[in-house]
Amino acid sequence: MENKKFENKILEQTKLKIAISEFEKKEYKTKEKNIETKQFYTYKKILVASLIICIVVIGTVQAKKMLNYFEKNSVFFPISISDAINNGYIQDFNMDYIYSDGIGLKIDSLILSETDMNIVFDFKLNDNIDLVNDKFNFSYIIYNEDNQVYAYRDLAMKNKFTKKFAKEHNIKFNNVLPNLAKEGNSNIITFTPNNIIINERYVATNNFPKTKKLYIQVIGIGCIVDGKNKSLSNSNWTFELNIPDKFYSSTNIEYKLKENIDNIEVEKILVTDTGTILIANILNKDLEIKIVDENKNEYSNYGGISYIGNRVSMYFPINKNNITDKLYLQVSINNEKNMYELIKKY
Amino acid sequence: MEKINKNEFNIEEIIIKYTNYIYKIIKNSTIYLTNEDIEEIIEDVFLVLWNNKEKINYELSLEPYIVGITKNIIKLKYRKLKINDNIDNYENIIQNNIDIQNIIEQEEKNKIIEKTLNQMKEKDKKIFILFYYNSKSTKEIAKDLKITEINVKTKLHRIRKKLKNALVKGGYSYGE
Repeated sequence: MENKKFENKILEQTKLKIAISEFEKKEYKTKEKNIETKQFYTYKKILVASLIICIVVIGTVQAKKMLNYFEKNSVFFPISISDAINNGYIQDFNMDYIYSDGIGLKIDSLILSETDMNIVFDFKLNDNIDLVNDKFNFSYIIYNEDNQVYAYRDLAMKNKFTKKFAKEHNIKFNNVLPNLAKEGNSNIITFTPNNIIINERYVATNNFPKTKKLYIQVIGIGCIVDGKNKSLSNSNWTFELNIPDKFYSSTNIEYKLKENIDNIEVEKILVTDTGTILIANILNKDLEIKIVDENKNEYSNYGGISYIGNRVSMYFPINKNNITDKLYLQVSINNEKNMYELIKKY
Repeated sequence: MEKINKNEFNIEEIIIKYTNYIYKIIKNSTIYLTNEDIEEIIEDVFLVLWNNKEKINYELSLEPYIVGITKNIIKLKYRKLKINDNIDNYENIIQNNIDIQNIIEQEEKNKIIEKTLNQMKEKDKKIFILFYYNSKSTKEIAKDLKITEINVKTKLHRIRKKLKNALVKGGYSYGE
């Protein structure tokens, strides 16, 4: 009888979950761009810029603090972020708030590796700022000295900000600002009337290139009241961040296939401090690919697979610290497994 | 091992048949999960099967799928709960293209929807399930519940609006 009761409970709950899943498929459309973001409301506001530039001195590494945040807040904690933290690709910035229009803004910390980027924005609101609800919003662009855009958010400005940025930096803009992020995620760490701290995380499509400086422009801070946009500040903050030497001077190991494989054209296999990236053109999407080391440990692709045409990038949780002398690419299809040896490129 | 026919994919029968089977797999694989976690995993296994029913190879039995999906969801759950333990490396060859990652990533959003639905009247929740799970038309739902079709349409509209507001309040975009 107890069994029956349990089965029925699971049945009813699963029916509800399936109904929710079908509801989402039918009614809840996600952005075509395949960027998964926890998004804020949009609003339109013409930008009036007052530029504030801050040169930031590198602070001390506080990896444990960031790990504690992730554990406490139960954010989906990808292996690559923890690897990045453990390998020292995190910087805490002991900067002061930069104030304008009654709003202070600073960057609390940055985690950056070849595959992942995580930035914590910290807003301080004076008492005279009227944030009547939790529909807080802001736009930003993150880019390097070569004008490569790592990631951006421009819902608030409906692309006006990014369009202007593209024009100023000579970047081709076709309704979308070209950028290096495959997908992103946003989480609120703190939300009080005077302090809002938000964590923005991104995974690279291929990899985030090494850079000595990273720029973050923040603009369009506001909120939604009674369905209408309310701007809290027209200012434009620009932060110039010095990237840790460790990230800049790290070396990766590039591999290639010893022999070619039918239906798979490998562009790149890169073993970094935080993981292994495989970029390839794959004609048969039913293939399953793993990396196997000489101890027969198998590493599956992490984080889902997204194809652009036949081109795919995959991430495997095996890095420079735990690779063995011999590595293999295991390709499986229709119950048939084949192993292909990988050799170092240089 | 029993095979099923593609046309005979009946999720309710599958749930009744395999719930205790999955429960045993989980109990044999781990000691770290609460009863609530275990129930969630069992439900997610069936949800994955439902969402991937077109990709299942019906020449094979369902058991290998179920075992593989279950162990992979446990792994993802461990990751989310920061538990460091090794689930046997399960050869999930059968699971090519079966999307499991999505389940965990959508969890937060789904919880918002579920919470909102549970706060609604039983009748409204029933209409939601009849429409989205049973794929019944508004006319059929009206007949089942002995109310007018216009009533069903109005209620569905209100349900969608409430869910939209809840999602937007939770920080998710809707229909953009």
